[in-house]
Amino acid sequence: MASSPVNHVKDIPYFGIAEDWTVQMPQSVVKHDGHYEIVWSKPLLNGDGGAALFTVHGFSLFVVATLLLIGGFKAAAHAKARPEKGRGLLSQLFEVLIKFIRDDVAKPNMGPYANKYLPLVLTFFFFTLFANLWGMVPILITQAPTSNINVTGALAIVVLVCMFGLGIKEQGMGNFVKHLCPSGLPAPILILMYPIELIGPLTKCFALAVRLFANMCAGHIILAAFSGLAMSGDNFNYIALFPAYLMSVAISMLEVFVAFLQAYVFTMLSSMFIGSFVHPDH
Amino acid sequence: MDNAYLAFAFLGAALGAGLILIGAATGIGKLASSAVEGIARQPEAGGKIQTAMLIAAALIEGVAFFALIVCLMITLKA
Repeated sequence: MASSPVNHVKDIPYFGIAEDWTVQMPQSVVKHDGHYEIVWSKPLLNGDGGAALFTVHGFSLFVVATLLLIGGFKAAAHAKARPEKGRGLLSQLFEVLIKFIRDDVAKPNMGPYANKYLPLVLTFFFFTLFANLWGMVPILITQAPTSNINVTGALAIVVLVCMFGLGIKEQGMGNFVKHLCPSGLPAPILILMYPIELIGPLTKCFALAVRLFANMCAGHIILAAFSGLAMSGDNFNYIALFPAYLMSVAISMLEVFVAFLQAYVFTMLSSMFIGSFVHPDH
Repeated sequence: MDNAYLAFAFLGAALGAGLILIGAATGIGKLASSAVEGIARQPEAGGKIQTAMLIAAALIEGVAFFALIVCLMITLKA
């Protein structure tokens, strides 16, 4: 299955598309005669009992985080420094998105806590957006970090911890336990309801992780399948090249839209979950 | 004999993917038709209807992707 399009979204410890044209990434650091040495060539992904130090997804994750930090601080500095001259393209761009998230996502879902937890919601939005869009940058070294289930799982765990942690923090432990179930129910039904209400957030967050992962993963698999249509088999198929090219352009456009949509959906659902725990009568 | 089992595995995965498509398309189609109808009847509620539609569509899509990943796992394991 070397030429399967699923290989396109695999987490590999080297840059490149084919096995004979790759650039290896540093894999592990070992202590050797008192000084540390970087091991380059050892593929540790499957077997050998260790995880790779740098993979395509890990590298993309660092790039996305760096871009986000630099862009965010630059936009904030521009907005602060010269409000009378106009704010510049970057901070305008950020402002449109921030205002959209504040007014259309955070405020309807979190009510009076919207401004307090806006930074958290914005972090979810911009991280998922940049991570999704990084997969659409047409260089071989880019892969969407969100097409890895571990990344989206970590995001969903953050949402889960925020749901319980912020709920307990804002309501207090007693009220939090009381508001988990609708009030006024008889005791036998409460015994049944509490496990269900405790499992609910877990499944919600699991669905959150799988949704983002599957959307990004499926899009890239389809792109790889259409791009590889012209190369299926042993020889290059010139007749299939043109439709394959057109289809991959069309799917790429759809993927850019999906990147925005999934970032929005992830933010919307996570703010809704957190809001329902922080603010029980909502 | 081994190949026959493999063929059944692939057949199951492909049929599963088709069934998922039927279910998800029905759900999202119904959702979109009622949302468009609602917006046509009440254009001023368009924003709210659109948000609710997107959330419901995302939920349907999430379940569809669960099933799709099961199909994908069958083809990768086989």
